[in-house]
Amino acid sequence: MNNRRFLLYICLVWIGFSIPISSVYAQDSSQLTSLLRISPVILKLQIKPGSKQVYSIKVDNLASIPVPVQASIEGFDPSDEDSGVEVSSNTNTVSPLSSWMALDHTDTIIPARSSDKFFVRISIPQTVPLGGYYAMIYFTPLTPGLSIGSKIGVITLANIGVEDSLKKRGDILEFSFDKPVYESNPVGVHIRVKNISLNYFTAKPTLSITPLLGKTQRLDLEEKVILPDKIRSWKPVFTIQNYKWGVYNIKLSVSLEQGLFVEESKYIIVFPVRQSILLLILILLLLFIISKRKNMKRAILALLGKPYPETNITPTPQDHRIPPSTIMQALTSVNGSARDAATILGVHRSTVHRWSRRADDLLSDSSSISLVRKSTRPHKLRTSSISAKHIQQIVHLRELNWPLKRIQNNLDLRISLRTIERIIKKQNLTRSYSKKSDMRE
Amino acid sequence: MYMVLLYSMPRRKFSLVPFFVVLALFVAFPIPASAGPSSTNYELEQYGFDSGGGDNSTSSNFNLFGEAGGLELNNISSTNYAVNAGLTETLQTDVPSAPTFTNPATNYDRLKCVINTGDNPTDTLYAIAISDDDFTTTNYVQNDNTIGPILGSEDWQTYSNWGGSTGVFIRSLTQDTTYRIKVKAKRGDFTESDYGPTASATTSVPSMTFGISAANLAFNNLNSGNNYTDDSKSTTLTTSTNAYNGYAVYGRETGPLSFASETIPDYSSPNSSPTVWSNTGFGYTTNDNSLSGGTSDRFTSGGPKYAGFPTSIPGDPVADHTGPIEDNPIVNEQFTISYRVSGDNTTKAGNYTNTVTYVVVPIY
Repeated sequence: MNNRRFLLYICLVWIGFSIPISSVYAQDSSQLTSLLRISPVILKLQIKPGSKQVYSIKVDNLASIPVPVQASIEGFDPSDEDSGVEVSSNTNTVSPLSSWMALDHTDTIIPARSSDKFFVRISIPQTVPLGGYYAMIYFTPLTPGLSIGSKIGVITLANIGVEDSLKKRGDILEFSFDKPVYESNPVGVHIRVKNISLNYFTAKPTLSITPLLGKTQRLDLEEKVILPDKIRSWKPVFTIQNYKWGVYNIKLSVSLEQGLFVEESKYIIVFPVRQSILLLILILLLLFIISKRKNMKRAILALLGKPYPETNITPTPQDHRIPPSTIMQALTSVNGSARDAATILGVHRSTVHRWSRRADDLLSDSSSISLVRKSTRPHKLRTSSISAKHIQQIVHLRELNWPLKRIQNNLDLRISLRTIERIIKKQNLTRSYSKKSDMRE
Repeated sequence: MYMVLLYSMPRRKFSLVPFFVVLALFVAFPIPASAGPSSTNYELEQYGFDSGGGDNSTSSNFNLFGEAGGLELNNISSTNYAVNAGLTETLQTDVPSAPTFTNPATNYDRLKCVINTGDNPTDTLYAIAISDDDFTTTNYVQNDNTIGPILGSEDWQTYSNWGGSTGVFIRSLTQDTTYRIKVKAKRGDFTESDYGPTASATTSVPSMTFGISAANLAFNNLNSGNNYTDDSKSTTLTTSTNAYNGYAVYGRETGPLSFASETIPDYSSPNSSPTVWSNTGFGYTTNDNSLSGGTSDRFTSGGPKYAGFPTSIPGDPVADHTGPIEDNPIVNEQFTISYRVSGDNTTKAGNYTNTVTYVVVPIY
């Protein structure tokens, strides 16, 4: 047993006897024990293979009592995608960096409100594969009668060797949304980025939310260090500003340091289903009211005890053309309501309006004497230009096998050959010609 | 004399007489060349700036006939002579004054930079050079605000893209290091200014302070008087850090509360889905309502809800504070872990003990 450890045990015994029992079992939350400050708590190193370097870690005892502190170097499993730290003794996932590190001392007693420095020696083998390595240095305050203990971990990240800075470093493994269609804010995103390089780097995703029309909204997410061959994830939940219906383009751009980016774009649809259904119901209700307005008016008038405008004028189904006088009578009987008059007569209300405009001055005295429908008889009737006598002559000559031209010349008619041909065709006197094959026979 | 001679020539169908008349007039009365600047002793007959646009400018004291404002197109050269590029008349940008360069929250891997535009208009582009050895080695702030050895065209950005009056954090810096930065500006080709004066700032060291309120606690005696239950004990975890991504505290125990071969089992609900206390066991709850590892308020919503400590490494998250922490470091943040233990009348009498360990690590 070395002197330092012996001194530590003596001190532990001294502390155990010197602190009043009441403080050992203190329930006062404001009274802190083993308040340690470690700096640096993150060591980011850039080391060459075969080199040896020494780093110091300062431990401050902020408590009002001396605190024995034990330091140890352990590995950790960086598999956790959220926090990146999963303290583990699993040697399969632990980086060998911890085996290349050594502390100048592992136990010390730090007097009250004093500090001590631990020196970490890192010796990198000459033939080590280039890449990113990691380890954890724990500082454990040792307290007597321990039932509640604490440990503070110092994360050590070391890039051994330098990788080509222009090389692609990472891939976006996942860029997905919690829903394909959003009815309302917020929008949940799941992002996973994998380090495909040899070294660790800091990744910083940025989301750009662009509507089809409107300004782009930018959302910066927190940075995370990704160790080689490891994955880190982000699960941001954001609110789209000026939330409207439509399609939004969400562009993910992940900075991988030194101006390198990996990017991916996706679209989401914002469609408030409930609001849309409500709007559709309102539209359908409005259309129903419009289509049933007459019946509703009838019902409302019945409720109010008022008669619906009726008339004894009933158009007969055969009357395709209702006399203007009937239209005007109907119009008068419904107090000038063209819609009601049209309903009664079964005509379009524009018909009623047209006759109403024609009646104009006569409407006041209900007279429609001067309302006369204009004749629809054609002004000119088409008549035949050739007499029956001439037709008989044409037929007769044709029966004598006269050709059309000869008939025309002989009769001296002012009709065209086409007319003569039509007459002949009607009488079925057109010639039939034999086929060439028949003629050969 | 020429005219007499011309008129004596025989006439042809297409007479060349008018042509020669005009030619003779040109010879007899030559058009005077435009005059350039002159004095008693000299006259500059041909001059220009190889320019595209032309203009005259006059005042009471001078008269300038010339062209200005174009761009040089090609150099003229032959075996015996060459006319090389002349002046390029463009509007230079103002040299930006020293940027504001600070470490606002004991940041260890980033420093904040706010560009001072001077009188440059809003469409002016700026590039930022950075060095940790007084520009013996120069790096440039990239368009993702990290630093790199090459200044690309995409790294020239407007004042607003560099964060405007808020500025940007230049990140991925080395801890405990003094950096100097300087800014230059341009508005187009051939308008790049020189670098302005430098500004410096120093990154801090990442640190973490962690303390627990009690190194030991003892539950009250469990008997029928308190229905074999005590839930009055707690531990306060106090943390301060400037780690960018915050910290996480994991809790675990050495084993269930035990006395000789007897044990009080751990509360059966896991950390990922704690439940309102029921039945017997030893468990804990936390007042951290934004805890990682599951639904953020799983311990507090409808609670307090309890879970049992695991014995495996690393333990379960009991308190955390995730980043980003840029402008305000975490100072003395406290979370309370409350314990509860319930036995029953079949639990054997004894002094049951175990050890709970809280491990705090920075999130990186």
